[in-house]
Amino acid sequence: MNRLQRVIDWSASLLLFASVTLYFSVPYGFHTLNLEQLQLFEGTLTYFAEIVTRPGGFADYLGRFLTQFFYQAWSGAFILAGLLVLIRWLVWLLCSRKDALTGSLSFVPSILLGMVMCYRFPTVSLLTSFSLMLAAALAVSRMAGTKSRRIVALVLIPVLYLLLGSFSIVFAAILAVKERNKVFGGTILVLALLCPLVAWMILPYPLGRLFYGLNYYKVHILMPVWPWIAALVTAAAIAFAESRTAGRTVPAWPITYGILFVLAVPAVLLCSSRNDEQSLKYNILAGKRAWNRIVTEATRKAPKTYGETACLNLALCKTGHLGSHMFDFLQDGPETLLPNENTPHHDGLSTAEIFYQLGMVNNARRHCFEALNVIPDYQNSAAVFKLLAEISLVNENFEMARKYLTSLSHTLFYRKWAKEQLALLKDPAGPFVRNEYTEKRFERYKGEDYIFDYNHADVSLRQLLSEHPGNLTALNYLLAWYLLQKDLGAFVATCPFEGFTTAVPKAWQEGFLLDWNQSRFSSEELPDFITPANAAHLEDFSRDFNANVPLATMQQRYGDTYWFYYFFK
Amino acid sequence: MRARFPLLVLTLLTVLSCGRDVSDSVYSGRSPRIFPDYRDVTVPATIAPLNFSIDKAERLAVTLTGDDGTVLYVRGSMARFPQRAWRKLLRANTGASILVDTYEFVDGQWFQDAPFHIYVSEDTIDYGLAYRLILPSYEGMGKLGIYERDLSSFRQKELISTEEVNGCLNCHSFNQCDPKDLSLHVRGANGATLIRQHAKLKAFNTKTDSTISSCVYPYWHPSGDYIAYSTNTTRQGFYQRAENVLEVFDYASDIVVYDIRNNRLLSCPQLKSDGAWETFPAFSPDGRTLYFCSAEPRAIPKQLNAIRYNLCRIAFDPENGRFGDQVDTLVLAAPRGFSVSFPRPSFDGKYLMYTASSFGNFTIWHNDADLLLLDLATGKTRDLQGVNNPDAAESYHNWSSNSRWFVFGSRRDDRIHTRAYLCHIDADGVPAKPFMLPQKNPREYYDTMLRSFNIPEFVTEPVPLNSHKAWRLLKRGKKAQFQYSTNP
Repeated sequence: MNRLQRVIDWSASLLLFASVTLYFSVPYGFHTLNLEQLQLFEGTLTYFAEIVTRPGGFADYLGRFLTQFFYQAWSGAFILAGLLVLIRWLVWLLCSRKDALTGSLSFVPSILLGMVMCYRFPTVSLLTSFSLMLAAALAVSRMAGTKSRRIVALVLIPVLYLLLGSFSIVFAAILAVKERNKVFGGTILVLALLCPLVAWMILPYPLGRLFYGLNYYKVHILMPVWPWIAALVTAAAIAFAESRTAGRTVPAWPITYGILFVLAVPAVLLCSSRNDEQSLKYNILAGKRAWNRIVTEATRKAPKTYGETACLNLALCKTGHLGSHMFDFLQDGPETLLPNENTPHHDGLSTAEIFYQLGMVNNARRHCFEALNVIPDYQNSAAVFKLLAEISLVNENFEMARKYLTSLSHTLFYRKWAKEQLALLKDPAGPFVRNEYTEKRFERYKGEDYIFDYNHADVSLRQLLSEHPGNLTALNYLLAWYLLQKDLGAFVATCPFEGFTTAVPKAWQEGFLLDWNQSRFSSEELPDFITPANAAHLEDFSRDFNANVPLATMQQRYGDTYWFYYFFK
Repeated sequence: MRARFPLLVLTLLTVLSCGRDVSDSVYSGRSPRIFPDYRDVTVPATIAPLNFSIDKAERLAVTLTGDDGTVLYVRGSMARFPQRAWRKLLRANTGASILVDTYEFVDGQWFQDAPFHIYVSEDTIDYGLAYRLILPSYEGMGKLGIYERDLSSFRQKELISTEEVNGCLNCHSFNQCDPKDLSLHVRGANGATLIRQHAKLKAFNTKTDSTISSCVYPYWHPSGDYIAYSTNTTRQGFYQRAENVLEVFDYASDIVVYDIRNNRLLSCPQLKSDGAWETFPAFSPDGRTLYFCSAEPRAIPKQLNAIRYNLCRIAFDPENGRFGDQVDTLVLAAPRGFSVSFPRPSFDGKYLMYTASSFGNFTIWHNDADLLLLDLATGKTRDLQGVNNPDAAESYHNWSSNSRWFVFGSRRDDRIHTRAYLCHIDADGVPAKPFMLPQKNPREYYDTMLRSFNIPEFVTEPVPLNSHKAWRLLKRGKKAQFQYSTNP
């Protein structure tokens, strides 16, 4: 390699690092954050022992350790970029001949693995396992003494299977290629293939998963093929580098590297899901109670799904804008207010947050448990544990709160908060010190117990309000519920129109006007809380509606009104 | 150097104070608040070490002194007894007691607590327990599995779980603690009821045109020729108040008996009537009586709190699979304002243990659920004093093969998760104080084990269940069909 080639190669690595960091921290940042939300890494010996005793456990532990830093999108993206560049670098070092073709080929595994990381449920363990396996292969291949090298390689196969998982087969393939000895190659490959088989005889995991890698993807029944194509390409690249004879012409460096990166961009984009990213954004922001940010994001790009709109509605409510702005966004029935487990695209944690904010803590707990249940690789979630700890504190189940908080106190980023809450618990009067929990505790429903019914959530909201008229979140949700259910009579009977110190919110006015329009004579004088502009706007709407103005025009003119929702949804 | 000096002194002081002999201790006279509460419990001689901790103690020193004079001394952050020495101590003191002296090191001072006893029963206990570990979830299942625990050690083995089986693993049942006979229902796309008998595992589709659902709650006939099942149309709902969590209820339920030899489901109008909801079948140890619970149907959810099950029985002839004509009510619970569930006759035929709660049948979520013992000879029911916790549910009880121990699930630990408790019961039906299933580090284990011990059952030997084979059977899709027979 000459100097220019070196510069091109280094630049390509830098480009990979920069683009991965940028992609996973900005346009795909919530995807990165989501990986952290799906685990609870505890710095305890028990946690270590629990993970490390499974095939691939060490790489998995390391992967989970790194995933906790995905608490911030930029640090997660930095780690992903680092691992992908490390993998490329290790493949490159394993290639005995350095030219443009092997150089560009050595980028392919990183790109393929990067594609997997764009999916919804990847694991960082995939990258740690791959990189550690390559490092082991590099170390063994550079050992002096053929005999000792081969013995070490054979001994390492089961060890690597235990520590890193199924990529030990790739280790075997690399060594087989590099040693160029058929007997050794056959032996080491057979040994590598035997490891998952032996594990299958002992452990209660399906053979397919033991071959694929227990921890390479979170969903066990949908395992993407890319990691193993990456493994195959790695072995092929090394074999290619080993087999090439000197003097053969290769394309110029800029051409091969250019082609590679031109192909990589659409491949990564194809594996990415903008819709998933959008959903995750709302769910994560709702979990973090970033209400203003949700509203800002919605203004920039309106929510599309039930789950996203539910998060937005909560944010609007918490910022005091539900009544004034809810119909600025797509509303599609009461499920966009209170999603249930059958609502498409609903998320357990954000749904739990909605109920928690309403003061319906039992429903919140239920959805927290559901959020834990749907984590495909059965890990716990620090974010869910945090909410469960809060719910337990509100419910005066201090023993349960202590358990969740103790787990959180073993984490890096939740420790401070957990320790503060634990300190509260140590003082017998602590849990009763006036704070968010005591207020929520006060706001809970205390009347006769009954079974919650999603189809009649208004009953629960009404009962909650009857005990705590000051629960404005519940009041706003009840009013919005009536509007979305198109129950104008109940809405008008419930809404305290005269009690507003500021102007009655737009949607509430629109609901009132529609009811007024449908049930009164037009000659009756409108009450003072209705603004003339809104009254005139309804007249315009009625005229256009009666004139059968096309739907698209109606949407353009009145899409942000309750009336449009009422007649066209 | 100057900055390090105080640290050095502090470390030295800490080491010295911790190392101070317990002979300097002050007698507190308090009964130690150990976790788990093993004070004055009765244990079998083969039980795993009853390791424990005291939350506020920085260090512990514990002396166990057997009646025979054997002494076992441990110290550390918790009381962790070496397995071999523990076994030796218990073996030497079988039928006698062990005195436990605890010393707590708190705020630089050793305190001696009031001593307590551990009684070692002469009654043997079975090899182990089999139970389901399940998240306290309501709709999904997360990681769910059936596990086996060797009671003489801390060894737990995963028998089958959702790591491999793509479906919800439901009630498991063995024939009088013999794990060679197994019934296990798996729900989901590949669902079926797995029945293992004579070393053969088979998958069955248990839903027939004549039954309202697949077979649900199983109970083996002692001969191994029949399995009684309930069929239930079950739903669940969620409460609004913090004290209650959820309610599981039936809209309908019947009882059927599966005749294994002839592949036919048997029932009779008394067990399959529209005018009653019958559930929780259990055969008497002689196999000639079928116990079950029966309630008058009520409107749901309005009259949910009025659903109350009585304990009934009907004769069963194992020779021909015929039922008696008469249904006897053993416990008329409904008029007395409570409901019976999970009847479990002891295998010596003397008692029947059941769960009583104010209403309904899914008692594990009822804080008022308690265990009661019915003396089958006198027909009198007695409260299991010292076994029940007034604030938490006790349920899912099962007898050991010699009927001298029973295991039950209780939510007394944290109100959310069911834990397994073992309890000795003497020949006169008098229970000892129950004890929580021992763990190597109980505080850490029960703090981090956020799954419930569901349906714990004694097993006389390791369960011969191969999860790979079970999953292959389920995946293959070929399931034998239960046939309903109207004329036994």
